[in-house]
Amino acid sequence: VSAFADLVGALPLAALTVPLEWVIGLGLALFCVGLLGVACRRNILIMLLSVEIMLNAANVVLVGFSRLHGDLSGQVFVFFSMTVAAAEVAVGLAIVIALYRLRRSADADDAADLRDVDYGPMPHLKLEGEPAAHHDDDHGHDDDAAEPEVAVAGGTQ
Amino acid sequence: MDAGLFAGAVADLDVSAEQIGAAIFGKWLLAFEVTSLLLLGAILGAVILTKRRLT
Repeated sequence: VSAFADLVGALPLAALTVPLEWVIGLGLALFCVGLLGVACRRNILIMLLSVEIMLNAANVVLVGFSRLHGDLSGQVFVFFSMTVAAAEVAVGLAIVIALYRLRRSADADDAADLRDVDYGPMPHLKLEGEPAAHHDDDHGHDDDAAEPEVAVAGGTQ
Repeated sequence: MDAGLFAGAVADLDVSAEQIGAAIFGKWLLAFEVTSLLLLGAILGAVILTKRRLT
């Protein structure tokens, strides 16, 4: 605590002298948290969030080394990295939404089979005018009887 | 924190927002423009992927 007090007291207040070990440690901890989140969680949204945590770990280390080298380009690169992360999460969330509409689940294990599992004909592909009537169940009561009634059992098997 | 691995080597970089802006819109202007194209592509991809009537 006294070392921390000395450190706080010795702050020049213009340039905060955070040692690089702390920066690298923070980046490493953030990256490990993100990696654990990707590896252990099965929810796709949490996995996307963990990917973002890993990207931010890289950003922290970039800023730290930018200060180390006295170069501004690292911090500029962090801005571009944030932009790429935003684009990535936009497309990722769109994929999650499309996958949820297809599988009715945000679990990664339900999307383990990307080969063409025979779910039958798509039960709810209504045109835009009709209200989407697929809230409760996937029975899709079609008017023409030629199309087989499909009950999509959620998930595999 | 004394005599760490990188201690003492940290440059006294006094960065202002003005310098960062000058760097982005000066040296890295091409990357900035490419970033705009990337964001446009991301928006289009997200909209197309989340369109309900896809096929």
